[in-house]
Amino acid sequence: MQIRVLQRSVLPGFGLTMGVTVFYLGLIVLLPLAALVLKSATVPWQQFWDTVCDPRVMASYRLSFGASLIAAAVNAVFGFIVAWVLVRYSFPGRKLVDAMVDLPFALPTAVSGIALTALYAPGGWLGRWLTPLGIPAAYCRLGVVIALTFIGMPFVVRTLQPALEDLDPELEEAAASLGASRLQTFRRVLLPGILPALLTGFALAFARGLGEYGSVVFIAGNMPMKTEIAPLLIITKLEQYDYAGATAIAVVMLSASFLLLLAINMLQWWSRRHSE
Amino acid sequence: MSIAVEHISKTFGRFVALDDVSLTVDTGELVALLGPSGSGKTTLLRIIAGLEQPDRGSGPIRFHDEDVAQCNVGDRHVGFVFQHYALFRHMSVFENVAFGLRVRPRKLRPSKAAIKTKVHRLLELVQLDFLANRYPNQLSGGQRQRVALARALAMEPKVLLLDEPFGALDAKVRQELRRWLRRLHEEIHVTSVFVTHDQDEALELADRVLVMNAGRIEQVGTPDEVFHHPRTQFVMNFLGQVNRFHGRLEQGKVHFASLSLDWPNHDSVRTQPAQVFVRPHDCEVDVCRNGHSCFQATVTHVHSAGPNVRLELRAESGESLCAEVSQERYRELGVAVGSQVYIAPREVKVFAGEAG
Repeated sequence: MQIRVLQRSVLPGFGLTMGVTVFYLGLIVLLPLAALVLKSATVPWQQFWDTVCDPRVMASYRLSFGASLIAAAVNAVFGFIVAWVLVRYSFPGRKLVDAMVDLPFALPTAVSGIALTALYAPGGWLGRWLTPLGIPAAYCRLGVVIALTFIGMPFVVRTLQPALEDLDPELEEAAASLGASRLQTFRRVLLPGILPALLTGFALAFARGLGEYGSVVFIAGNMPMKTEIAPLLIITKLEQYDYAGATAIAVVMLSASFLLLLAINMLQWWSRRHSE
Repeated sequence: MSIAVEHISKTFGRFVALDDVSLTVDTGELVALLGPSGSGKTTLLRIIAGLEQPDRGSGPIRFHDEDVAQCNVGDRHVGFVFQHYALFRHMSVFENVAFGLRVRPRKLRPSKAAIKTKVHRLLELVQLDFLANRYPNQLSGGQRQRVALARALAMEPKVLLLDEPFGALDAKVRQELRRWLRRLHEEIHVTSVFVTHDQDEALELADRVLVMNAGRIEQVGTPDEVFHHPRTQFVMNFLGQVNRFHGRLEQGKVHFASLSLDWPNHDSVRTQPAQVFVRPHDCEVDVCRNGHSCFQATVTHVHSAGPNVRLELRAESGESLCAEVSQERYRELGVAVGSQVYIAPREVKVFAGEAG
């Protein structure tokens, strides 16, 4: 394979920066992951398979991936609206709202978990109104989705903002002058333009949701087979000194998320193929 | 399709972009809105298109006697061409041009085959059929603008509006596209209005030119009229190179730069300030007084590259000015920086009053 420098830069140092990149990624990302895989490799195949296929583990995978996907999807829709409002309109307090978007980043996740639980628990401010309607929010799967939505929101907003700022309002005017309806303008002109950024935001929010632990365990209730997320199972196994079982669950999660993220990246590459 | 807008005003906050502007464009005419940036020309174009709403109390916007002021942009059936093309990046050239046809309601939408034929015909018209499958980022600026034009023409607009269509292109491509657009207009004859700050473009391309300044229309006329018979100081100043002198009108004479010329139009006894304009090519240059009324000047700079030679001069009364002579005449005169010359204005324009 031939190494090709895409664009000659006035700054030299491809060799050095590439070396640093490989070393840094190796040290920070690959080494811990390799240790994880190696550790799980010490487990006999049968035991590995039994651990992973345990109904309780399978249920936690379904919940973790399902809730993360739903939360990321919810964020993709509403995060888009937030980003749109922040970019396109100026209103008093815009800077304040803009800063608020980052709060889920900054808050210790346990704090947000406790806050959300207090809010949605049957006696909480919101739970008090939701429970009589037959919508239990805390201590059920909905609670997991709520926590993951909270955690993932900034990813979508922050990745969409620059893309929306880039989007020329003239494009919408052009579409309108050509007779396109508002829906057509959105679907055929706006959406394809921001799809790569939207997918990035979705992927980030999704990945964050998969790994999230702190905020979820408070609101989920952690009932086996029902509201137990995979990271919690890993912690449980660790507490029982079952390192092999913990790494087995982790390796499956890791592979699945890698494949999903790869797929999203391919989709993104495909949707970006004609933009400059 | 004729256009008539009456008493249009538009303010953005405190800024008055348009101040009671009226304009008519006849069917099949090509009209240029010419003015410096901030003169309101683009705002006027966008109001005609429906991309901008005029202030309340503005008059009607009529397309062929039908008031469209309440219609939104999609219902006005105008083709709008943007300065920066506004092509859809994720669509091929073909898809861009087909867009206006494909978004029509199902009942009015042509068949796939009809769309294909039509788009290829339009791409042939703009001489880009061979690029149908390319994407906008693979085209040059001139090609992109022609795609944008084809896209606007696809919906068979009754009116074509172009906002600085060649503004983002380099000089050579501009000239080519200008001629090409003139030919295209002769071919399809759609009523067209274009905005430009480039006087050459306006004078060369348009049937009529509308000169705008500070939200008002200064003058409307054929390119010949506005260039040779400017009605205001602004138009005189804006169109072409011009030398300006501060002078005065006195008893049927105009005095400027140590010259006095008869000015019979002014018969008031009262002395009045006046602005005197002389175009560089109307300045006759000689090395000696040759009988004409003339004034003395010193050559300060010579630009000899080009079809004509431009001499920068300082009059003995202190004003700097510029004169244009042919290469032949320049060699004949044999002047250089520092030479003393005599300037005899062949034609002067005088506007009474202070500088405006």
